[in-house]
Order: sequence, then C-alpha cells, then structure tokens
Amino acid sequence: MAPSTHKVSSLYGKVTGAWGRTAVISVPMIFLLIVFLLPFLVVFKISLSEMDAVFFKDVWTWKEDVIALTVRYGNYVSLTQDSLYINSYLSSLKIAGITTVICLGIAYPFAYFMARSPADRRPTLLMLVMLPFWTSFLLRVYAWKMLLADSGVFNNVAIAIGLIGEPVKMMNTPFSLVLGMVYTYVPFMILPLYANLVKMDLRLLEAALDLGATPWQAFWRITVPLSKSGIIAGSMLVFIPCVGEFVIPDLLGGPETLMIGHVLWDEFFSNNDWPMAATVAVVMVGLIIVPLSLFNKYQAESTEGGRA
Amino acid sequence: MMFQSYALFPHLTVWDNIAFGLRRDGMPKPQVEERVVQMLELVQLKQYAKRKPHQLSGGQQQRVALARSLAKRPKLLLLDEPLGALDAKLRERTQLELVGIIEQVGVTCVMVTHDQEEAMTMATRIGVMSEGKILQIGQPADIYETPNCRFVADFIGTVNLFQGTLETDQPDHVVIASPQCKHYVSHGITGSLGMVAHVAVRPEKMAIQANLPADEERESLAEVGMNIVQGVIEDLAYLGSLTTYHVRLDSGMVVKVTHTNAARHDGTRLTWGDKVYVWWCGSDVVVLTS
Amino acid sequence: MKISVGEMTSRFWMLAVFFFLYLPIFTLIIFSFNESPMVSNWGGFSLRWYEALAKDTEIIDGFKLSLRVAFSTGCSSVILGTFAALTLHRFKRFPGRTLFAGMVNSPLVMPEVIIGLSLLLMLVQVQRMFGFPDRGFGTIWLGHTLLGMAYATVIILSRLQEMSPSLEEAAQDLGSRPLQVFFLITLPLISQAIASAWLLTFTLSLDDVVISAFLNGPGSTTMPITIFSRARLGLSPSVNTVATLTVAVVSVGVFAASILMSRAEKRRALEMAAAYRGG
Repeated sequence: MAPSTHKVSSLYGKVTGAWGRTAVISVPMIFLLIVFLLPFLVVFKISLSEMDAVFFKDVWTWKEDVIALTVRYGNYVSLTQDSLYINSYLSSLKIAGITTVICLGIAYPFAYFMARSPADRRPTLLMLVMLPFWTSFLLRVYAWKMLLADSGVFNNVAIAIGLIGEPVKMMNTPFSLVLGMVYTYVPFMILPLYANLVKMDLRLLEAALDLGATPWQAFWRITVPLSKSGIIAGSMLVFIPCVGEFVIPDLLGGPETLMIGHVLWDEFFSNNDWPMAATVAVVMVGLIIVPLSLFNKYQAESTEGGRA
Repeated sequence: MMFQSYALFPHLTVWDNIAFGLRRDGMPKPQVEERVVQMLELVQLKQYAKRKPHQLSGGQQQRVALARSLAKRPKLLLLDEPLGALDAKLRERTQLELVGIIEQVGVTCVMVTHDQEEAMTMATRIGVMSEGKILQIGQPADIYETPNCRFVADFIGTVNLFQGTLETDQPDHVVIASPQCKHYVSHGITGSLGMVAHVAVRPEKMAIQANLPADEERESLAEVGMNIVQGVIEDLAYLGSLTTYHVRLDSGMVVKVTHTNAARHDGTRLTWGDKVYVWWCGSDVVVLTS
Repeated sequence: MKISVGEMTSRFWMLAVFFFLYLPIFTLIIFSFNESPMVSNWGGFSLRWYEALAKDTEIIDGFKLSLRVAFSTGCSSVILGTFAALTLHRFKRFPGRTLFAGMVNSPLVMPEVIIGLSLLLMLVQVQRMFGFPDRGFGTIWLGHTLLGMAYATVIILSRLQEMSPSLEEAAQDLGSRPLQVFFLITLPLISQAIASAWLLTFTLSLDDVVISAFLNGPGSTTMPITIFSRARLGLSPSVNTVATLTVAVVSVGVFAASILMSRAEKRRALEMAAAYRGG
C-alpha cells in the first residue's frame, strides 16, 4: 500500500500537505485580493474625495504633524440631487430587466428545442450557437448600425419593395438599444438553459403524462420548475452586466436612452471627474449587489452539487 | 488497494497503468518491464498491453486493476467491493478467478463486501461487523454453523430462533423450554438453570412431513416429544432443487424450513394450507446466550 | 411523412433565432465587398477595402498589440484559473472561502466599466506612491487576466468535478507524492478543459473594449479600441473587412476543431467495439 508518510483516506485534500495546500490557495487568493478587492476599496475611498485640477484630493493628509481625514460625501449628495443620475439608474435597471425578459422568451424555447433534438445533431447546433459568440461582439453590434440606420439595409430594402414610403427611424432609439442588448446577450441565456434542460430526466415527463397530465400541464408543472436553476443562472448572466453596459448604448442608444454605464464613462473620460465616476460606480455596485449575491450563491451550489 | 470503480488511469495504457506504482518507487527499467510482463501473464491480458482502459470490457478492466495493485507485491491488499460493478454471471466466474490469482501470488487480502454469498465463496476467514464492532471471526463454515450470537446467526443466511429458559443442565445435554416446544440439545453449555437462552436451528436442518415421525426415526429416544413442532403451511416457494416452506405454528411463530427435493415425486407434494410436523435433531442446533 | 406541429414549431423557432444571430454577420461580410462605402447602395463587388486594410497601420498595429495581450492573457488566465479551480474543488473549508468564491465568480457578470474604473484608479494610486506601473501593455494584460481567470475557473472546475476522485487516490496509493499526482494524473485529464479555457480567454481578450479603454496608455491602443472609435463616428468599411476576416478565421478554426473531435470519437467507438468482440 502507500508509503507510511501519507494516510490514504477519502479526504485526499488533506494529503496534499499543509504547505502545499497553502500555496495552492494563496496564489489565486492573493491575486484576487490585489486585483479585485483592493480596487473596490480604492474606488470607495476616491468617491469620498473631490477633483482637484489634475488629480483628486487625498482623503488622508499628513502635513505638519496633523493627520487629517477628510471625507467629502458631496458626490453622493449630488447623486441624489441631480435627476440625471437617478433617472439613469432607474432607466438602466428597466432596460436590463426588459432585455432579460425578452432574452428569456427567445432563449427558453430555443434551448428547449435544442435539448430535444436528436442527440447527434446537438453538437452541431451548439457549435452554431457558439460561433457568433467567438466572433467579436463589437463587430456584430456595429453591424446593427448598418442594418438599422435611416439609410441602412432594412430601410433600403423596405423602400425598394414598396413596404414603406419613407425611412423609419430605428437607430438611436430605445428599440435599437434593446435589440442590440438582446442580440448580444441571448447566447448567455441559451447556454445555461440548454445545459439544464439537456440533463433533465425525460422519464419524469413520461410519468406525468402517464398520470393524466396534458403536455402543456407537464411542461409548466414539471419542466419549468426543474429548469429553475438554469433560468436564474441565465437571468443573472444577462441582467447584471446589462445594468452597467456601455458599448451597446454608445453605439446603438440615443438621447432618450440613459444608461448608467454611459454616465460613468462620461464622468471619467469627458468630465474628467474621477471622484464622481467612482461614486457612480459605488452606487452601481450597490444596485447589483443583490442579484450578484444570488449569482454567487448559485455558483457555489453548483460547485457543491458537482461533488455528489 | 483495488477500488470498486477500478480507478484505472484513462490516459495511460494497460502497461503504463500497471507500471505506474513501480516507476514511482524508482525501480530500474528492465525490472519494471519484467514485473509488468509477469503481472500481465498472471491476469492473462498480455495481448492487451497497449490498449487504453476505455477499450477494454468490464471484466478486463477489473483484471488490470488487480494486476496494478499486485504489481508492487504488497504485503496487504485491500479490496473495496471489487465485484460490485460486474453483472451476476460474470461475477460468479470472476470470484473464483480472483481467489485463484490471489492464492497464486500469496498476498493477504482484506475484502469488504455486502454480498454474503461472495464472502462465503471467496474468503478463508470472515469477520462479521455490526456498528463498528467485530462480532465474530472465523472460517465460513464456523460462522455459519456455530454463530456466537443472535446477530451473527441471523445475519448470515436465515435462521429460526426460539427463545426459552434452561430447564435441564447436564454435562452432555441440556433441555430448553420455549413456548413452541421443548428443545433437546445434545451438548452441554455453560449456564445456570432458569436463564434465558435462544435455540438457533437452520432451515435446512429441519424435516417437514404431514404425519408424525416414528420414534425410531429420531436421533435418540431421549428426543421423542422434543425438537418437534406442529403447524400449517402458510407460504411456500418451489425453487426447483429445493422448496422453502413458511410454517405458522399454533403459538403464532413462523418457522422457515428448506427441503431439498432429492427424489422425484416425493410422495404427495405438500401445498398451502397443509397441516405438517416440523422436526430436527438435537445435534443440529446451536444455543445462543447473547 | 407528416411532420407534427411540435416539430414544425421547433424548426421554425430555431431557424428564426439562427437567422437573428447570423444576419448581422452576413451583412458585414457582404458589405465588405461593396465598392461603395455607403450601405445605401451597392457599387459592385470590390476588394478595395481589403487593400486599404493592408495599408491601415493603425489597425494592424492595434491587431499586433491585441494579439500579444490576448496570448499572454490566455496563458495567465489558464494558470490562475487552474489554481483557483483546484482550490475550490479540493479545499472545502478554509478561512475566506466564501469571499474567494465570490471574487472568482463575480468578474463573470460584473459590468466591465466597474472593473475597468476600479482597476485603473488603484493602479493610478500605486503609480503615485511607487512610481510604477505605467499604463500600457502590462495593465491591460492585468485587467484581461482578471476577467479571463473567472471564465477559465468555471471551465476547469467543471472538468475537475467530472473527474473521479478515486483516480488521484489510486495514484497516491501506488506511491505518488501529491505534486506527482498533479502532473501525472490530474493535468493530463483536464488538458482539454485547459485548452478550451485558453481559447476562450484568448478570444475574450482579443475582443475587449471597455477594460482596455480604461487601462491603456499612450502608444498601447488595441484593435477593438481603434474599431470602436471609428464605429462611434459612423459607418466605416474597414470594420466590415476586419469582421469578415475574423469570421473566416473563427469558422475555419471551429470547423477544424469539430472535425478533429468527431474523428476522434469515431475512432474511439470503433476501438470500443473491437475491444468487446475480442474481450
């Protein structure tokens, strides 16, 4: 059997040896603490300061035997006072919500049909779904500009076949924004749903039908509840990044569409007001903290489940 | 150790799987080669040396797992339900093969199983455990024929247990009185009069017939009137080579009797509802005090 | 043979979604060959934009940089991701595990503006205090790695979970020390996951706009940033050409990969059949 220095036990994690275990945990942990957690603390600190010509004023100052802690919460006050910010937050949540719901509506039947296709066809279908994902999303969003512009493809074709007389304004509207968001995020909704639906035991449906349920009832009472974790995962994967999305609103959105990601960008790049940008970011994190925790909980559960 | 799931390394060939442990010990190459060939011949898989585990059948994979664990000539081999993954027919064949190989190599094995038949077939000694404690260790026949407590008697095979009190205590025989009948046991036991004791009788040791057995048929005249009960056949299962009867006695207890159908047309066949006598010999019982 | 209503709905829906997904891609490809720079009219088939692309130093330099960043990101993400996946898989209890899991998974969904801004602000602070690092290749690489690590961890972790734990136990039982177990047994078995994680993080890095925009410095403009600036100003045929080339490369890659995989599957199936016949 094994050499006497190591105990063979089912808790093989123990056998890695104390220092080995510390090393494996520390490497990613230290990286994340420095690159992920620390920046958040810095952002929070900076949100409590003010812009001072080229740079921002320090929160701590140590001059002439005085350590001064100056916490300026003026930015937060501005946030609540200026309707621009409040409206942007609300609008972002609204648009993200709408996008999530539409994505779910498109992706669920698609994932369902894909999961029920003949097994040998599924890898190909999966590949076809993933292919656009591997092609730059920036380019594909740009393509919608081509399609939706006043002199774009859709309008030209519609005029050419006499469907409409004048170009319909589709570009730089809430419509184009949501269309672009849905387009970009649908694959993110399809994949977790598909992963969940394809593993479902079809015999459960058989049992339901055998006990007298109609196919429609079986779908709503058996399939949908069982795919709950896939729905939640997909929804989080779409909703959370949508709230802070910048590129799509910038390319496809317009004056009526206020997205908080765009506001943050402008604060930073156009206004050069770093502390304000930081404040916007802090509040944004606060907005998504609940769905984010939900997402993390889901990820943790799927990690546990995998060790069955 | 040999795992229940075999745990063969899927990315290594049969050869590399077997050689793995030897290489970790730093064994020189020619020696490794020699030993691996030896192991392959032992399990008769020489021509599959270059194959990967997924290219083998279940039985072949098991033999590779065995060869791998024996390659290092361990002093002790632990087998964790090694035959659990095989189907019934293959299991039978493999049980004897496995024992043959282990004896040929001469290594001590500790095997864990929940399958009684497997334990009885393969082991030279069996240990019966309950709730973390070892209750009895012995050869299969000893465990079966002379269990040392009620748990072991009931756990291995089936048994009829009669509870009674010690009535007569002699050096060469004892009599235990139970509600169902009086038990004549043809050996002495250590105990005191009046103490509670259980008499264990295995189903195959019992005889079942419609009419009362003659006195001459009994083992000794001292037994007449004892070691015999009367009842009605409540259930039976005809299994071809033997028949199992469940006989409900007047006292309410159900006694299991196994009868070998040694001859064709054994007179009139007993059937449900028949009134029968069930009797046995005093030398075929075990008295249990725990 | 009659097709059921269910079957028809299924096919219709899937075709509609595929049409939706691929329409922009086809549009990009078609118009990259348009003589006219405007979408409103078709000027005839032409390769002029491809010629222009060959001389477009801004994009070419940006591409080279993006390639270098993406390659480095792939490697660093996979290494860190393997560490993180091993940690989450093996060590169920250690101080800070919930925090760790949260930190690893959050970049998957966190809006990139937040990641970019926070990382930038921290780097600026560090620069003020210690004089380095200057923003450029290294900082972009750092940001991309954070994102890539999250994706890599998910992929590698799921493969680790599929792997039977008794394999590592068996290796130890046969005398391997833990480090040997990792390199001889674990690593080969998760190699495919590592490869796909590398490809995924490489692609994500190549495509990234927001984090790169926050973290880049003078002289380190990545290709997506260049394309983005052009796209903001209006329609530009150079984007179409880049898109077409990208689609071509990706399609060839995916196609080749799936052929290789299906061939390997067929070979394995044949060998299995042979094994059972002979066994």
